[in-house]
Amino acid sequence: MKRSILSVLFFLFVAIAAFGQNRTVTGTVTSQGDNLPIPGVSVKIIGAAGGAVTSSDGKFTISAPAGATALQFSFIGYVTQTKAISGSGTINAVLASDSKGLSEVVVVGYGTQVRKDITGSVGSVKGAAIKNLASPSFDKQLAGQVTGVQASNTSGILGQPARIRIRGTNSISSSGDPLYVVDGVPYISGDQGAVTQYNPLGDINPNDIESYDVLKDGAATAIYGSRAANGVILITTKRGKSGKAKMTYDSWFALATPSKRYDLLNADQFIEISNEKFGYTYPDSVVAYPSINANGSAVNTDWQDVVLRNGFQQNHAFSISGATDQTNYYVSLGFANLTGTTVNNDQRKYNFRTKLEQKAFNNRVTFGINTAVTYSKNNGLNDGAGSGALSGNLSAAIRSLPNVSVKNADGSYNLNADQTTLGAGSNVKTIDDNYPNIGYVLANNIYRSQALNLTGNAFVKVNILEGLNAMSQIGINYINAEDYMYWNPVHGDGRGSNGIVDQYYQPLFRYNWQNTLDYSKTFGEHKIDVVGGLEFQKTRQRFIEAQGTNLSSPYFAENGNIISSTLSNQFYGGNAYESAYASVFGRVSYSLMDKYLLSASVRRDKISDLPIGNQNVTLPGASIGWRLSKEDFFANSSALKFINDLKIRGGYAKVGNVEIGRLPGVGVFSPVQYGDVSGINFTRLGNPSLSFETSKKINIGFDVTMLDNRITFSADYFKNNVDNLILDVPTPSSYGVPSNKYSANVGSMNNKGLEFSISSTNMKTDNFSWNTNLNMTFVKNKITTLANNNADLIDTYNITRVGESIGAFYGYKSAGVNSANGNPMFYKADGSIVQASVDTYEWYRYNASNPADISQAGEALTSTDKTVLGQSNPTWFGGLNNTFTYKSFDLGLMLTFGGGNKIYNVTRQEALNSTGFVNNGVEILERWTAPGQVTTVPKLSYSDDALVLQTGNLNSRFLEDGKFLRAQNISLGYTISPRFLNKLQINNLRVYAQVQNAFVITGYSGLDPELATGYSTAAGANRAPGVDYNTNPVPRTYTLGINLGF
Amino acid sequence: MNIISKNKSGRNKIVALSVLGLLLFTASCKKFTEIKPLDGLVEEIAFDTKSNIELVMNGVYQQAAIGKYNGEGGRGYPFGGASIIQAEMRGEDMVNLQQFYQITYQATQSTSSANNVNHYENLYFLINQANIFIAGVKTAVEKGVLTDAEEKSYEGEARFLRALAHHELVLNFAKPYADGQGNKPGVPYRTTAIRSTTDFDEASKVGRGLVSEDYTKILEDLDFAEANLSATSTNYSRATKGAAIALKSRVHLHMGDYSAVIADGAKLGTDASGPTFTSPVGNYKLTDSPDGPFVNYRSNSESMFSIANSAASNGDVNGALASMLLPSDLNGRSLVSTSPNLYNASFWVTGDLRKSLLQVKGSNDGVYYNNKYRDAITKADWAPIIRYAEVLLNVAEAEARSGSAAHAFVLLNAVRNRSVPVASRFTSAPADLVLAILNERRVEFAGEGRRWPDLHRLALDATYGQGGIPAKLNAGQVTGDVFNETTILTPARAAIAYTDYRFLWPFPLSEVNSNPLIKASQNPGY
Repeated sequence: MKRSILSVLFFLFVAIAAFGQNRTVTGTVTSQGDNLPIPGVSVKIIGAAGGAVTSSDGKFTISAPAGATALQFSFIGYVTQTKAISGSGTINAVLASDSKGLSEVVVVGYGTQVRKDITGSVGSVKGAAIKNLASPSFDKQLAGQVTGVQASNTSGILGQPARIRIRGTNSISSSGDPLYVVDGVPYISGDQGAVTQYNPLGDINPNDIESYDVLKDGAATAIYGSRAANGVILITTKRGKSGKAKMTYDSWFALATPSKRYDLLNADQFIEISNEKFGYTYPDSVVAYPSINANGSAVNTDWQDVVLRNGFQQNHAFSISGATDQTNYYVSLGFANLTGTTVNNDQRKYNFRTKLEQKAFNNRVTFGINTAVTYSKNNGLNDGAGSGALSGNLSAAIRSLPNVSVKNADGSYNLNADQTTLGAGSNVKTIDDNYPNIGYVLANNIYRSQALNLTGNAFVKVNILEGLNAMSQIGINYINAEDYMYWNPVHGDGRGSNGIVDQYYQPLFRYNWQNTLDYSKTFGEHKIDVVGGLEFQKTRQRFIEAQGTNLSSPYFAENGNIISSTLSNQFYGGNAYESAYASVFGRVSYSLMDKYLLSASVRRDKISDLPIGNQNVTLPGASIGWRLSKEDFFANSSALKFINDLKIRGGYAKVGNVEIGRLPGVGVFSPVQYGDVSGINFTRLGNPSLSFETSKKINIGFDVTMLDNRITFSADYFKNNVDNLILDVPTPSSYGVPSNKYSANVGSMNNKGLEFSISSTNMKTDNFSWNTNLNMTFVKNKITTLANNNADLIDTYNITRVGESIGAFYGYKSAGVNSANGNPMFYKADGSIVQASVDTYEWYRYNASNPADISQAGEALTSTDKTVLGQSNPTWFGGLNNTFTYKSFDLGLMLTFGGGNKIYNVTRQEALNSTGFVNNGVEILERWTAPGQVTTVPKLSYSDDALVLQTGNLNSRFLEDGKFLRAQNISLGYTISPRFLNKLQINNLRVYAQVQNAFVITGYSGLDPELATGYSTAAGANRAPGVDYNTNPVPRTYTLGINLGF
Repeated sequence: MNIISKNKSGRNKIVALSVLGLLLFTASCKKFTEIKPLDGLVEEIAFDTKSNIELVMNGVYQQAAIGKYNGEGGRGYPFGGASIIQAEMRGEDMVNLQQFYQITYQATQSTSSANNVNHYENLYFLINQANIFIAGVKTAVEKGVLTDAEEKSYEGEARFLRALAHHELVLNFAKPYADGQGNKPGVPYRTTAIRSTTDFDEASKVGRGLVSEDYTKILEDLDFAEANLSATSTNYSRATKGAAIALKSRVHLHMGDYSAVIADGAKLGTDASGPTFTSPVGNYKLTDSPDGPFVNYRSNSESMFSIANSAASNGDVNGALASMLLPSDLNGRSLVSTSPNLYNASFWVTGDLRKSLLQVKGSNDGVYYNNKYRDAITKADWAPIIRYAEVLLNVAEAEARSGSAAHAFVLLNAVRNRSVPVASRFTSAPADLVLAILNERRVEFAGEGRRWPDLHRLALDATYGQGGIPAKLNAGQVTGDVFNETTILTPARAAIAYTDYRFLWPFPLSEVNSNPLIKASQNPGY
C-alpha cells in the first residue's frame, strides 16, 4: 500500500513538473434533471494532450496547455458534451442522460462494447425496467422488452420458468432455451425441482441487476460458440459508483389474483346435464340429485374456490454501494415472500450479494470477488398440468361435482364411505374415475423444494502493458436443492400405498474457469480490440432419494422430513452425471475512422456429451458495419441532415447447441431391478459418429437515429439455418430399440424473420415528456429435412413435417354436429363427411341431402384422415411501451401482443366437455337436443369421450386462435421533491402503484392464450408447444411500492 | 525507479505463474472431456464377465416385467400385469367400471391409443433385449467367458421370452391360426439383435410374414428352450424346461394341433391315470387350495412361469395387478370388476372355493372384484403367466376334441374338483365336455388374462366360438345387487363381429410411420 501511494505521488510529481506552465481550469459536472454531481466523468482536453476525471463531488481541476481549445466531457450513459475554454477558468457542464444509448456500454461476452460499435444484434434491458415488477423471477417479465425475444408465462405456478425463445425455436430434440450468463459465469437454469417447480433464475435478486443484454444473431453470439444456438442472455449485476456510499431500499407489496376462471356448470345445470347423459345410455335412470346444506339450501359449490385464491406478496431489497479510485463495492440484501394464486403454491426467498473489487500494485492488478447466496423455498402441489391427474388441482376442480359440498356439516371433508373418492352427496353415483376431494388433498399433501443457491466468482486482472490485460476468473454455481413430497394415507394419491413419503437431496455443482487476454488500442483512426482465452467448465449433478410407503402415522410425515422406522416399505435411489466443457476462443474487433467496423471470432469447443473422437467443433463468426452517416456525402447533405446516425451492419456465424442431453451417442446398459434381483438392460442405442448440432446464422440490419436523437429505429432481417440437428431419429417400434429412437445428425430447419424496433421521444418539455417504444418481430419456421427420408415426427396433437413449421397442429377436422340426430361429424381424407353415433357406436356416412339418414356405413376415422391444421408458435409478437412524465409523476403503459398461432385446448376437450359423471363447462349447455337444432356440441351420452370428442387426438373443434393483446403493466409513480428530502438525508424517493396483466384481449376461450403444458426445457417443448391442458392461470397483480435512495 | 522495477518483477511473477498454471492445467486436461456415464455400463463391456451377463439376463426379464408407458415409468408392460388386464378387458368376463380401460374395453383403439401402442412397443422392446442378449452370450463363448452349455442355457431363457412375446403379438395384431391354417398376415418375427445403426438394414427387410411362419418360429424357439433349460429348477420367475413345454401346449392348442398338445402334456405327466397329476419335469402339481398360486405367489408347486414383481420394482399404482383389480376399500382402485354374467353363470356353482377365496365383495359398492392379487400397498404380486392347471385343461380340451373323453374328464376334474363342493362335482362326463372344459377355463383363470386368447383362438369355431368380440356389459349395469348367482343381464354393448376391423389391434403409428413394409400391410380399417 505504502509503495503504491509512493508511486502515485511520484507520477503526480512528474506530471506537475511537466505541465507547470499551464492555465488551470476548474469546474463541476452535474446531471441534467436531478442536478446531482456526477463523479468519474472523463474530461479530455481538445487541441492538446491531457485530461482529468471528476472527483466524488463532481469537481475537476485541469491544467490546460496553451493550444487547448475546448474540454470534452464524457461518461457512460450520458451524451458527450464539448465546451470551449473561455477566459474565466471555470467551466461547468450539465450532462444529459443518453436515453438513445449510442454511447451505452453493452455487455457482449468476455468484454463490453460501446453500442455504436456493435455489428451484431444485441438487445438490452435495464435492470430498472424489471426490478419493480411483482414477479417470482425476471424471465417471466421479459415479454415485449426486446425484439426477437418471445417470453411466455405458460402457467401461474411460481417456480415454473418462462418459455423463452430467441428468434424462434432453434432445435427439435435438444434444448431451445437460451444460455444465461451472470457476470461472465454460465448460470444453471431450467426447472431444477424434483417434486415441485424450482426456477434458479428466480434466485437472482432483480434489484441487483444493472442490465440484461440479449445476444441474438450469429455474430453477437459466436463468442459463445457451441452454447449459442438459442441465443444468450447476459446478466450484469450492479457495481458501486464512485462517490460517497449510496444506500437504496426498494420494496413492493402486491395482491395477486387469478386472472381468469372457467365458467363451470352450477349445481342445477350439472344435475340436468348429468341426468341427460345417463338418460340416453340407461333410459329412465336418474343419477344426480340436489344435495341439501344444513340450513336447507341446495349445495352449489364452485370448486375453483378450493384451488385458486388471491395471494399477498411482498418484496424488500436493500443495498449499499460505493467506490473509490481503488475499491469498488456493492452489498445487497433481499427478501421476498410470494403467495401464489394457486392454493399451496408459495415462495419465500432470502438473498444477499457481496461484490468487491480492489486495485493494487500501482493499479496494475485488480482483484475481485462477487458472491451471491440465495435460500429459496418453493411450496407446490400436484398441478396436474398436461394430464387428467386425479389429484391435479385444476383437473379435479373442473371435474368435481358442484352439487356436493367440500366439507360436511361437522367440518370434516366430504368423502365417500371408504374415503376413496369425493363424497356423492345425494347423487346415486360417485364421481367417475375416483376423483378425490381436492380440498382434502391440498390440505394434507406436501410438495416442497428448498434450495441454497450459491453463485460467485473471483478474478484477478493484470494490466501487462497499456491496453493489454490478462484475466483469470473462476466462477461457481452450486445449487443444493432438497425436495420433499408427502401423500396422505387416508385420501388422494397416497391412499393406494397407505401413505408415501419421498425425499430428495440433489446437489448440483458447476465450476467455470476462464482465462483471457485482451488488448485494446487506438492508433489514430484505427481502433482495435482483441480478446482471446481459454475456458473450462465441469458440472456434476447428483441426487439421492429416500422413499417409503405404508406410513405408520401421518404425524411423522407432516413435519417435512422422512423419519426412520415410520415406513414399512423403504426404498432408496440415486444417480449421478458429469459433464465437461473445454474451449479456446478469440475475437478481433476493428474500427476504422469510426466508420468501417469489423468483428470476427472463432471458437473451438469440446464437450463431454458427444462420443470420444467427435467432441470437437470449430465455430467461426464475422460481421461488418458501415456508419454511413460519417461519410462526407452523407454528413454534408442537407437533405439527410435529419439523420444523426446511420449504421448498416451484417454478420454470419456458425454456432452450436450443447444442451443435447446426456451422452446421446453412447450405447449404454443401465441398472434395473427384476423382482428382488438387480440387473442391467440396454437403454440407449449409440451412434459413435454423432457430432455437434450446429446452426448458421445470418443477420442484416441497420440502426438509425434521427430528428435530434429523438427517434431511433432499428430493423433486422435474420435467417438461422439449423442444418446439423441432433435429431431423435424414430426407429420402427418393432425394432425394439430403447425408446424407439437414436440420436443422429440429420434434419434441418430454418427460422427466418424480421425485427423492428422504434423508440421515440414524442414530446419533451420542462414539465412533460412522452416516450414510446415499439418492438415487433415476425418469425417463420420451416422444417426442411428430417430423418428416414423425411418421415414425419408425430406427437399427440402436433406434427413436425418437412415444409411445415415445427410442431404444427395435426388432427381430425370437425365437420360440426349433424342437426338431424346430434352426431359429431368429421371430415375424412377424401373430403367426405362421416358421423359417429353414440347410440350404436358405429360410423355412418353423412348424407347432406338427408341428414337423418344413417343407413350407409362409414369408415371410422383413421390416422390417414389427420391433416395439418395450424401453426403452434406465434409468427408475430412484440411490445409497445409508452411512458409519460409530468412534473413529478410518471406513467407507464406496457402492452404485449402476439399471434399467427393456434392453441389446442385439451382442457376443453377432456374436462369441460367430458361425457363422464363429472362436472363440465357451460359450453355443454349448447348440446344438441332436438332434430333441426344447429349447434357445435353433440348430443349427450355417457362415457364416450373417445368416440364423441376423439380424446387423445386433436379435434379441430377445440383448436382455437391464439392472438392476443395483453396489458402487461400499467404503472403510476410519483417522485417526491428532493428539496423536501434533503432534510431527511434522502436522495430520492419514488412511490408507485401498478397493475400487471390488467387485461387480455383475445378470442381464446381458455384461461390465458400463453398457457401451455410443454414449457421451457420440459420434454416435447419444441415439438409440442401450444397445448393447454389443465394449466393453472397466470395472475393479475396489483402492486404498491417505493424506491428509496440515501 | 527501484520501486517500479520491483513492482514490475512482481507483476511478471503473477503473469508467469498464471501462464504456468494454465499450461499445467491444459496439459493435465487432455482427457478433461472424456467422461464415461456414471449410471450405466457402456455397451462394449456388458458381456465381458459372467456376473455382468447374469445382470443382463435379469435385465431382459425386467423388460418383460415393467416396461415403459409412453416413454416414461413402467406400468407392467408387457407381462408384469398389462398382458393380463388387457386380455381381460378385451373379453367379456370382467367389466370396466371407470374410463381407465374404456378404449380397450369398447374396442375404440386407434394407431395412437395408449394401451395397444404400449403393449406392442414393449413386446418388441423385450424381443430386442432378448436378441441382444443372445448375440452377447454367443460372443461371450468366443471370448471364453461362458462355456457352450452355459451359453445354451442362457440362450434358452431368452428364446423362451422371445417366443412368449411373439405369441402375445400374434394374439392381438394378427388373425388366429384357425383362419386359413395360418395363411393370414402375421407379425414381424425378429431374431436379430438391433444394437447399432448398422443392424437396421437387415431388420428393415423383415415384414409381417404369415401367422403360420410365426407359429413355426415360436415353436423353434420353444423347442430350443425345452432342450437346453433346467428340468429341475423350481425358480419359476425364470424360464425352465417345464415352462417351455407348458407354453408349447398352449401354442399347439392355438394351432389346433391336439396330438401335439397331448404329447406336450405327456412330458409333464398328464398321461397318468389321475385323479391327481404330478409332472416328472419340475415336479409341478396343483396346490391343495385354488388360492395357493396367489397367496403364495413366490413359492408354490403349481406356478410354472410367473413374472416377478417386488415392492421396489412393479407396475406401480397405474399398472400393478392389485391396484387395478382390487376394490377401493382394499386399497385398489375399483377400476375393473368381475362380470355378474360370469359370477352368476350356471357353470360357476354356488360354494365354489374360487368364489369365496378368489373373489371379494367391494364394501363400497357391493360389486365383486377379483381377489387373486392382494398386495395393493406394496404391489409385489407376481404376474402368473402359465401354471400347471392350464396344462391340465389344455390337454383335457385336446383329448376331448380328439375323442378321448374319459381322460379329458379326469383332467377336467383334477382342476375342478379342487374347488367345487362335493355335491356339485360331475358324477359323469357332461354331455358337452368341450364346453364344460372351456367354461372351466373361464372360472379357473378369471383375472389371469386367458379370456382374450381363447376368444381369439375360437373366433371361427362354429360350435364354441363367439364369432368375434362378445357383447359386453356397460359399467352402469353393474351394481352390487346383481351378484345374486341368478341374474344374467343383457349386455348393453353390442358384439363386434370377427370380420370387423376392430377385432384386431392396429400396428401403431410408431411402427407404420417409419416402416414402409408394415405401413403397406397395416391391418385394414386403421
